[in-house]
Amino acid sequence: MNSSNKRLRFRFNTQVLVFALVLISIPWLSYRFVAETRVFMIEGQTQAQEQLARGIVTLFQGRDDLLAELPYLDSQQVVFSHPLIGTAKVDGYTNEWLDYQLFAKYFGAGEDSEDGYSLLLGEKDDRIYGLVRIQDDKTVLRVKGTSRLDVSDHLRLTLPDRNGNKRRLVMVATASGAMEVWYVKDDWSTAQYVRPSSSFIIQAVMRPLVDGYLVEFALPNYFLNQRQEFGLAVADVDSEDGTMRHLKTLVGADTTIESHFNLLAMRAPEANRILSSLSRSDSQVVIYDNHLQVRASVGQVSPVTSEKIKPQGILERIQSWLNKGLDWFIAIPAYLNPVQAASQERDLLNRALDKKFVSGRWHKGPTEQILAVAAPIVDQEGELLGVVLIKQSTAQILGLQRRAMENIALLSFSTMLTILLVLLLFSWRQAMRIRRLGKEAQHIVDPDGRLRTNRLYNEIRAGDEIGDLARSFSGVVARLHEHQAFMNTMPRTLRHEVNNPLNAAMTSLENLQMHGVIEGQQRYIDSTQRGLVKISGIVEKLADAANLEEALHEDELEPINLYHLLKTYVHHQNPGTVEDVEDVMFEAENQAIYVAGVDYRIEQLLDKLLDNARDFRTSGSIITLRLYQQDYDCYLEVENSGPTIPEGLLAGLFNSMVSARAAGAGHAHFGLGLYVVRLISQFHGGSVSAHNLTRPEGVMFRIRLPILLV
Amino acid sequence: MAKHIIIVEDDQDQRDNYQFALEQRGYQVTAYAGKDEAESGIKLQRPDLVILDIIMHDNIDAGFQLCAALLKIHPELPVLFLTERIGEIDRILGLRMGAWDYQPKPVSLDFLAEKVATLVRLSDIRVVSAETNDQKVKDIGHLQLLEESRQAKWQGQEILGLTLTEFRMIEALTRRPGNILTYDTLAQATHQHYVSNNTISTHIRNIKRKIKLIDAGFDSIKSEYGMGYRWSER
Repeated sequence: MNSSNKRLRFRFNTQVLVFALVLISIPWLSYRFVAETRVFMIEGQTQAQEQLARGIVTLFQGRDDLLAELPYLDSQQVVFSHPLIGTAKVDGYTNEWLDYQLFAKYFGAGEDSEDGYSLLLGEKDDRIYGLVRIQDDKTVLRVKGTSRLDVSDHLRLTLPDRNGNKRRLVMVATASGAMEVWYVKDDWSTAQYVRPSSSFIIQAVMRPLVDGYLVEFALPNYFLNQRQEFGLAVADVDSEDGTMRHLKTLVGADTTIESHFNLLAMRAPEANRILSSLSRSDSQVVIYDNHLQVRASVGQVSPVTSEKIKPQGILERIQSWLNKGLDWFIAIPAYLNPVQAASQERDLLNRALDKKFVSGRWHKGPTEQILAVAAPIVDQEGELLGVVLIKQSTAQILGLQRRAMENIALLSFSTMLTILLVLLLFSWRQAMRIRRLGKEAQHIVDPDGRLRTNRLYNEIRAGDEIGDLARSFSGVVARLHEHQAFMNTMPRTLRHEVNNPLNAAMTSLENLQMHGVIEGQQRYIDSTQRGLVKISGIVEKLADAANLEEALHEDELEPINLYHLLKTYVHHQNPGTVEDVEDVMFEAENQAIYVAGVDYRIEQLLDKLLDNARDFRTSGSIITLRLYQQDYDCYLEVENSGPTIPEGLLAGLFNSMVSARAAGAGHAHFGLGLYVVRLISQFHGGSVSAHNLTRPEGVMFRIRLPILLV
Repeated sequence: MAKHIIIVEDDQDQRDNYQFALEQRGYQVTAYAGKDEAESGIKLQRPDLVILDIIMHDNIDAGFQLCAALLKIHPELPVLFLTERIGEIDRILGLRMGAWDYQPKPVSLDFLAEKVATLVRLSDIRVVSAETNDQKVKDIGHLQLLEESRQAKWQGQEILGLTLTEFRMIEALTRRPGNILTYDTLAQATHQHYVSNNTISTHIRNIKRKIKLIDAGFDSIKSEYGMGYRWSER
């Protein structure tokens, strides 16, 4: 087998696809570039944070007045408010509180006590927000229309105004969701007004929990007096008759909340003012006192993100899919949950309390990282006053990176798609052109190997390399066609060119004889004439073979009994000889087989096959002529024992001027006999094949002819 | 008076040989080497027979063109094509143009002289016969052979377009009806030095075709495959 057949073959389109895959490296390289840029930018951001922290520390150095501004009273519990970030909603959910959950204050018997509660306070936009998580094994809701307000679970809020008068508010739930807020009289059970307070001013929402319920509320800043005092108590009513089981206040044992107001520690105004000049949209600066209570803060860690809009158009959908893929590609695999993040922050602050300048970094979400720097603030004696914490989200950088990646992804995707389409289109077109050219090249030669035309028609006018190839090939075809035409006309030309001098020579010899020849010269004249006749015979044979195809068109097919024809033919091949030895043996069933044919052409075919068999048979052996019918065909076989035909010659044996004989072997042979056999077989709608026989060694020629169906 | 034969042949050797051979046999021979000079010469005086080559110099149809021109002037002029163009198409074309016979080269001068004599005699006989309608007729079944005018009739109708070679073949076949005539025997009727079996078969096919124009059921010529042909009475 040819070694080239084993070679891997890639079609044109496959090559283009492989090439297109290489294009994928472009977005990958871009991603690497963007990732490196991100690292560089985050490093820069950290350094900027550190510089800022040092600056703030310098600003607050020795300013114990700022951090110790709030008078602390031993008798009053201080609850610190935290700056809420993002959209603060009174909805019963804790999204806005996630960062401060570790700062929740627990009241009651203990953190795990069944009747305790926790409180978180926050501030945003001149409003005070509260989140109260109450542990209660049985939540009793207020029945609407009931006049008493203290027969169900409720929250009591006391707010002394600037004139020393006390405002008493009861927040009570009738169902999960918005709560009623009532101004009540001194007895906490009778409403002061007919209707509850407007929810536009004071909002409160209750949401049941597995182990109790949660209340989130908000009220304006101006409800507080200068000392920012307030009192909060949770009334737990479990009994069926509505008697209060327990009243939990901020100061655990005292149930008279009027005498023990709590203080709401707001941020220090001066410190806030100083910090506000450092306000940045993408970072949060928080000043803690040495009790790690927030005294001032500006900015927010994460920029407000707009809600995702559902993609509408196809392009937007493609972009959305790409983004999802991108999220998967650039997502930080492991990130901390909010509790863990808060623990990290707490840890950082604790280390800063040890007067260490520390920085940290933690993941907040799949696409966000928090960079934090904590620096201690000390007075002139070196005593710790507080801690400054600067938190900054990498969301902006990551956002930039993401946008860059999105752009790269979209650009790369569309570019690759375009290039791929163009390449596929290009390769498809080129492949089509080459295939068309190949197809034409295949059809340019008939089954007998002869050219049907003298030129190519496809791609001849193309200006590229395929056009060059087509033109070159067309040129070769033209040359071959000329050669073929020459070969076709050669026997006729030869006959014309030979016959004239041959005729001149022969007629000259005759005239010479007419003049009279000297005795003894006649035999030379005879010898010359014999030679000339032989030349004439050769030329005739060549011309006959060359003209055969043309001559066959003149013949008319008629029904022939092939059995009779062959039987007669073989009979005449075996004239009664003295030795009575058969030359040709005929094997056939005694049955007429009709074919549409020309009898003398079949006779001519038999002449050629028998001449051939006689030339090659083992001396004295009999030639077998066989006829049989199979389905709609009949087969005529001529078999002789003798040398076999070399395998290499079998395929082209029936072409013109192909001979298996050695040069100079006896009579003149031009390899036309089997060519004539093929032409006649094909003219009769049949075919011819040659087969080597092994036992005994010999050759068999088989002619297939379609039988005439009557 | 010697019969006047015109030979038109561009090859001088052949031309001289034909001329010599025919003159030796008592003919008056005028030889031309080209079409134009021959046409001018023949216009002056009508010959008894014209022998034409077909390919002359660079003109491959010179003989045909000359034949057409001569027959226009002398429609009854016997024309014999003596040529190396022996394709079936050429043969048919030549005979359809009105030539009396078509002889392929190489030719035996004896055969040529005999053919010339026959054609001249035929020309004379046809003129006379047309006037007297008196010649020897050989009957073989439905076939009639008018030996002097070299004409044949089947069922009383003249077999049209029969060449001298074909007439001679029919004559040979009917000499002993029922007997097989081998290819070699039939080859002698062609007046050629070398004749293949296929050439004989082609002549026989043409004879059958011409008779079948009169009688579609004609099958008196039987093939003896591998040997020759036989005339068989119905």
